[in-house]
Amino acid sequence: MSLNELKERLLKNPRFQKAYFKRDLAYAVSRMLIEARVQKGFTQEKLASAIGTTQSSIARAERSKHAVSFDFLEKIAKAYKTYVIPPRFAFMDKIMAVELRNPTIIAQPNSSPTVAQDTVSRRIEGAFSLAFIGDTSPQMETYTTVQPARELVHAK
Amino acid sequence: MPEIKPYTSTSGRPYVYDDIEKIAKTDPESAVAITDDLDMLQRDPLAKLLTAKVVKQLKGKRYKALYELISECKNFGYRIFFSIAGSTYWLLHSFKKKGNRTPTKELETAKNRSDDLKNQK
Repeated sequence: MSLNELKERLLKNPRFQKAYFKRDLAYAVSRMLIEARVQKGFTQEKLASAIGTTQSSIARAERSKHAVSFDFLEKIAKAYKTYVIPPRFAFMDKIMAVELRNPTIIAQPNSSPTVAQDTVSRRIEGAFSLAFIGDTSPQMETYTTVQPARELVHAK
Repeated sequence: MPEIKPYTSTSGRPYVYDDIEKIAKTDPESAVAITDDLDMLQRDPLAKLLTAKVVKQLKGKRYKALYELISECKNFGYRIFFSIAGSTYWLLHSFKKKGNRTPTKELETAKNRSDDLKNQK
C-alpha cells in the first residue's frame, strides 16, 4: 500500500476528512518557523538575540501547541530581512476549491500529481509563510551545502 | 523522490499504516499531522529534514542504520522508525512517545524488522 492509498483510505473516514480540511494551523506555522530558521542558518539563540527575546520562547513557538501572534511573526521576519505573506481563506484558492469538491483528487496517483502536490505543500507551508527577498523560487536549494549524515543511504 | 513503503507482516499487514488508521478513528487531527509529516518525508531531501531535526539518525552502533521521523501532535509525540535502502524508505515501526527515553522494546522491534528486510533481499 502506498502513501496515497493510505490517504485515500483515511479520507473515507468522515472525521479524518473534516480534520484534513480544517488543518492544524498552529502545527503548520511551527513547522514553517523551523524550516525558515534552518534555511536562514540561524540557531534558536541567534534568532532570540536578534529579536530581543529568549531562546526558550523560540523553542515554544516551534513546539506547535499554540499559534504564535502576528507581532511575533513580524519580528522574526524583520530579523530575516523579509516580510510575512498573509494567510488566505481556502475558497479564495482555486485549486483548493476543486480539491474540496473532490477530496480524492489528492489520493489518485495518476490524476495530475503536480496540482495535488502543489496544494498539499501550499497548505502545509503556505498558511503563513515568510518570503525571502531575492528568492526566485519558494523551494530554495540551500541544503546541498549541508553536511550529510554519516550513513545517509545504506544501500547494498 | 524517494518511495515510502511500509514493512508488512507475513500475512501482508502494514504495521505502521494500520497504527495510523487506528489513531485516525479516535484522534483524526493527530493522524492528519502524521500523514503530513510522511508527505514531508517523501517530498523534502533527507539532509534538510536532518538539519531541521524532523528526522534523526539513531545513535549507537546497533541502531545507526535506523532513522526516526519525529511528529509532535497536539496530544502526544509520535515516532516512526524507518530504514533506507536505495531510494526506498521502509517504515518499520511506530509508537506514541511517552517518556524522554525511547524504550528498548520499540528500538528492538524496528531493528528486528530492518534485519528481516535485509535477509529477504
